[in-house]
Amino acid sequence: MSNLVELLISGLSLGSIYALIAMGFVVVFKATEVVNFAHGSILMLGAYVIAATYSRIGFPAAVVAGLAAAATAGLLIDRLLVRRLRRRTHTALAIVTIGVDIVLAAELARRVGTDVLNMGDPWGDDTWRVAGFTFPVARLAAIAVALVLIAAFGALVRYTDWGVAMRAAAEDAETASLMGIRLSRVSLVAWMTAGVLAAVAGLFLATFPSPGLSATANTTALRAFPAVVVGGMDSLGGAVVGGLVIGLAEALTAGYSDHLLFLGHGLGDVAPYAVMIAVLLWRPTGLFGTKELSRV
Amino acid sequence: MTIDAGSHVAEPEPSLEIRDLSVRYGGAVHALRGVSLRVPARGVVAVLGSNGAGKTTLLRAVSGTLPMHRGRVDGGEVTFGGRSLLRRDPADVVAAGVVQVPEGRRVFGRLTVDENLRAGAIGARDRRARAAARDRMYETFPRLAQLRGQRARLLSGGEQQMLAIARALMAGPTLLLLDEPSLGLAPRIVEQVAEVVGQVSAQGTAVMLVEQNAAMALAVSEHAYVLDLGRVAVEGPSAELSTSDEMRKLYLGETSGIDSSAAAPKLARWSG
Repeated sequence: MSNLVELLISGLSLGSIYALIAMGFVVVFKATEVVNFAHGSILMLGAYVIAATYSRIGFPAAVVAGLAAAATAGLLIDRLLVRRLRRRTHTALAIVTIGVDIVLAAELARRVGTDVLNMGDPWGDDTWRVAGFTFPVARLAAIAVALVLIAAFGALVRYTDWGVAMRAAAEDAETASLMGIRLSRVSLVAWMTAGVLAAVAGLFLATFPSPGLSATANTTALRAFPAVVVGGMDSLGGAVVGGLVIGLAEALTAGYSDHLLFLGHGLGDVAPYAVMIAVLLWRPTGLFGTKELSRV
Repeated sequence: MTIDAGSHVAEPEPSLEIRDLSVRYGGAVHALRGVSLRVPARGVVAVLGSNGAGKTTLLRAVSGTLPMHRGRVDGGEVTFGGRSLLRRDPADVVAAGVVQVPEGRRVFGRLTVDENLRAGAIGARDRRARAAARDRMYETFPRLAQLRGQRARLLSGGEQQMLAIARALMAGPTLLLLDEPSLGLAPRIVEQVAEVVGQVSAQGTAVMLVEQNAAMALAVSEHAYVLDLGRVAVEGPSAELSTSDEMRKLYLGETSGIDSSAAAPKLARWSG
């Protein structure tokens, strides 16, 4: 029983991190219809900047620097590539983001090398004992921060001018521009916000129980992709639900892998994709999605 | 018309001037061939024409959305209040005071009525002016006030058309472009649309009304242009055009007998 509760917390924490990644992915897709394959590398860039700077400027400043770096990466991709190729097909833009991903990931992997970088976070491997359960503080912090960010982002989309403009543009970009909405601004804010959310997710993906930031952190982030597909490519609520579903599935199958040995080892890594395929068989646009994915 | 142009210098009332405009799609299809027309600072100008005559292309050229359709201006000029509107972002055209209500209404279906109106005013910075504009819209369109929290896709066609017009008016345009506002609407609703066009014009906003429904458009406008195969085929005061033989021949075609008998009583009713 205590195992189950601990696994649920671990799954929720992983899930809320995936939700952050998925929301960034979805907001870029909604605002620009671009499938952003560079999202994992942007996440890693944010985490890398935190790991590389905390010893000099302290953890809080390093986090700010990491978020700023990821947001800047989003800004540059938007201004230098997306804007220029806006009239091209979305497939072309998706492929461009694959190119960005390869370049950025290679450079970051070169810098990290074979090390596993410490993130310099104040929680370390502290645990918190309550009523016989043991929770890593890093996991609880991930849940708390993710919840705040999900709520803040939801409010941004729902109540601000940018949110109304983004939803209008997602529905009908041409009409939105006829109403005076600047699509380039909608796109810019989407890319930068996605970068910030990715950097926060990157920080928590590289803290306890993970040993730190390794050269392959960007591929870990790819596990959030099933979350996006499960929730629906164009649904922010779906991104949150999808993230939690995938996180819980991964944590539970990994936690109970001893009982599931008849299915083989490493089931936790497979579970997200298994859930994704099951959901797609049932609902081809994801749980909450509305758009067909043929444009991908 | 020429008297207006003279007073233009003394009191800068912005008018839309389109001179010799040519537009191509994909470098090949010639959609407009040397169109010239003028929408004065006040009143309603109708642009008539059948499908493919170039009406929507004309609006795209004014609103700056041609690039979204791989269209390109390859000759001529579009100015509003003396400043060119060509090769500008659609948002800049809106900021210059020219706002289009697109064909087929195209309200944001997943947004509420209130959010649709808000989307129409995002270019305007001043929050208080925005709130005042929204209150004015709800006064003008009381039905929309009742539906303000409703998702727009749940509205009827007529309600959506009113919302589309109200949304465009939120930006406080000095020139309103309407693309086929009567399309697909019941005759009773078309009458309401005509009434709204009259009200908008009476409040000092110039209107360019693009229509296939010639009877309605001629009834609410002072001046009209007929586009045919990308050229202005006929132009003149609407009252004259609605009775002209040439107009019937060119635009109303074989069904002119039916149309003229149907149009006459309607014109009388709407002019009141």
